[in-house]
Amino acid sequence: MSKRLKNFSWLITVLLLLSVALIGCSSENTSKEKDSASGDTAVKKGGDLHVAIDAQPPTLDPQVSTTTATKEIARHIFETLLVLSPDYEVQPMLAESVDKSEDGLTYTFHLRQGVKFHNGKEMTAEDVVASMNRWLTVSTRAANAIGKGQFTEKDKYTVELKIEKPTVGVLDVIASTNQFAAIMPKEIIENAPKEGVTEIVGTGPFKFVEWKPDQYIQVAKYDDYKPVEAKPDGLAGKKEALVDNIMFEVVTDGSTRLGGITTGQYQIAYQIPSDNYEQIASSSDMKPILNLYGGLTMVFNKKQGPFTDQKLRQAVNTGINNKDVLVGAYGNDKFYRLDNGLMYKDQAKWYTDAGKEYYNQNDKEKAKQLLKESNYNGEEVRILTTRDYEYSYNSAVVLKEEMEKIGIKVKLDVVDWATLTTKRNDPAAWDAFITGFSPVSLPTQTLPLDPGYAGWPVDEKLQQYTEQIRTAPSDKDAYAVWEEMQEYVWKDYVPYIKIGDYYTFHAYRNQEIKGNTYFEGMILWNTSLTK
Amino acid sequence: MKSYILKRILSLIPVLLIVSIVVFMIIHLTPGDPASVMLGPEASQEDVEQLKNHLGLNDPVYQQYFHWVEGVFQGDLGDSFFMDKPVTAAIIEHLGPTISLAILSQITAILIALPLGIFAARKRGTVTDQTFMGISLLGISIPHFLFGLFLIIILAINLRWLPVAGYRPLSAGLWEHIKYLIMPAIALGTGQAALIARMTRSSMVETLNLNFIKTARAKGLHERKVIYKHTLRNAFIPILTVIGQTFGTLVAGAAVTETVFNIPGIGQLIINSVERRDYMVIQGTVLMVTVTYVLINLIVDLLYGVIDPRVRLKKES
Repeated sequence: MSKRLKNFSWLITVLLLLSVALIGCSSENTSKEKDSASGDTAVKKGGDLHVAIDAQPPTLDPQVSTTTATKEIARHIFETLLVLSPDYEVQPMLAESVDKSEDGLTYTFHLRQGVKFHNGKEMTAEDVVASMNRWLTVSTRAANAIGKGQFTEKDKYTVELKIEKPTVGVLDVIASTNQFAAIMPKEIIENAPKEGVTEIVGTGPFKFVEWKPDQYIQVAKYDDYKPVEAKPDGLAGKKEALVDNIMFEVVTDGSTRLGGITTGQYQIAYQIPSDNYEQIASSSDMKPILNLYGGLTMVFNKKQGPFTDQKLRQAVNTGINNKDVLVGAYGNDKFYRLDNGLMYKDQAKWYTDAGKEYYNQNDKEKAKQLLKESNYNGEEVRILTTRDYEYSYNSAVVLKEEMEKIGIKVKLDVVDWATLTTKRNDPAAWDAFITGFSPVSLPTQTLPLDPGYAGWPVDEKLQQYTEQIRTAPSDKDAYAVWEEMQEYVWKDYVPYIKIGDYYTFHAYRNQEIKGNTYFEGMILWNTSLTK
Repeated sequence: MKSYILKRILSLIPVLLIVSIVVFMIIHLTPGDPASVMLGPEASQEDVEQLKNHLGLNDPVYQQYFHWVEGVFQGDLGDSFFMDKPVTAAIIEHLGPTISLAILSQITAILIALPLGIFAARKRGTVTDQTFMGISLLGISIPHFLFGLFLIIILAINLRWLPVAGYRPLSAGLWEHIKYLIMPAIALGTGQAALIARMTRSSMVETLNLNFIKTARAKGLHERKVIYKHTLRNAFIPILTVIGQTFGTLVAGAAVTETVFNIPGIGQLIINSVERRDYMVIQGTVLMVTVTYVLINLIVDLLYGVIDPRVRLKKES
């Protein structure tokens, strides 16, 4: 052996030893996995549940923020007077019952007695009044749906809501899950700064313990929690904290969340990259949870620029192939659904397919004809999008191609998410933008139909419909108007194009936890660790 | 010596002033604001404007700058919009993980680089030398985070020896603390090692060619003594400079590696703060990083004198 080769021999030996060690340990590991898959899954109380969340919430005050991360964590700490069951029916929670006056102007909430906040204080009418009146102030969406309203205390356990005119869906809005009407102690509400409460005290089955910024948020079982007796059903019914602690660990990198759930470091991981769906679905240790995230949407600027022309908006809607856009955005067909309902198929009470003949037409010739009839003179239209959400960028690329096929010049303006949210408020800065909208409780809460929202759909007929829905004598009448309104949106006004519904997926370790359910977010009460 | 240190510290003032103005302007001229991020994607424009007014974000930029600088001179870097605490406290909290990681990475880097560099220098021109330098080139070329992901797949997912990601403070126990840092330290350390090894090799080769080394050998000194006592010591100044620079880079925060391994250090603090437009934290952190970088360079300059008496003598004369 030459001297040079001798110098290398130690390196080769080390590499060989390392490979042997790797192979040996991998096979040992496989057998361990098999053992765990066939193992016992009896329920045990206690223990810590580790949940990897994809983003840190800006605040834990659910009345203030519309972010998903806030909602996901806060729903375990705070409760509302009413909640929604998975079929979107309103159910009692902190309110035992609700009476509606004959004129529809007064709602009387009878509160459950003996419910205690996490600071030991009993929840009474004064806390509910303070919380609900603040909610009506900080949540424009609530104020828009309910109109001018005021909560007042009738007695220690009774609260009254008086509104100016009869309105459809008041209780649905109070029960809604996003920017929800959390009940907090009066003192905390009174001292709350505008950016959100600083003391996190609710009545839920878990109490807030600690928030280490960019690391974790810890909530612990609240021993004095008083559940309702009804059978658990989504957010409704009996809630029981079966684990001692839930550690919501902030893990912003998707591959790290995937790695952590694969090794069992976390029992639940939010927002796993969609490319890994098959890997999770075919695993015996992990299961995916597909959840409807909302509707992929292109919103037009109706205040300034070429899309102020209704014919041009109709041309785009007529010419695009929605399926191609959805495939481009999400790839796997498990992650999208072609549907034109502006309220979602899962919301039986409000869903309608009115105007479906104007959805996903993919009629390039008719689109070109509409383009000719419009005032479009060949200028470049700017689509605002972001790479922070890959689906947003990918769908914009396909939309650009589709629009160019019918003769519209398109330029993509790709910015980060924070820039997009600011830029879209400036009518001079864009012509269309791509975003996703999560489900809302009432058609009147649909953001891109709100005249004040970016896109500015200021249209007399649209506003008439909205008002008619709000003041309809019954839900049935309101639904009939909503059907007409949806048809008008697709056929004539086209303030935005809902491309389709989209899903994201979370993963959990099915051998290690049980009882976890999902409704507009993860539900981790009644969830236990198995042995 | 004292006047030299004082001069260096005073030279920090214009640097910090320029850095503060540039950072402030870049942040405030970039679209996006903390109020929109705080209220979420579906908040109304009206609510966002109200919160912006409340946070003083609609005041003229120069007014916001002077307000901030005034605070800085009083030792107050402002409050984080998102963390409900002063920026100083947020920085201190995030500095711990970064320093732990930087020290561990630097130890890894030095342990790999010095023997490798010395060995390559001694075998200069041979296949061994070329192989080692080739490997070090690979080390510089592979992005840290990519190497980190490979480590996760092998050491955490396949072998289950180490946790995938996360951080435990030293108070949780030494092993608990270190086991979360091993993979990121290797990922970062090997990259830095490549740089240090190349510098060690070239500096050693240069010194080995000098006449005093020939004299030492002619005197019949043991080769080990020639290498470690005479050559390495004389070759160490450029090596120390690189070590100092790499350490500075590590303390400034290895943003991507910290994100991949979910270590709540300075790098992740900067990235998260930029994403959520937490102006005060970005400004404060960049200021802190600048000071740290300049101070580390100062310490390295002072160490030159400790290692090389000639530098010390020049400064004294």
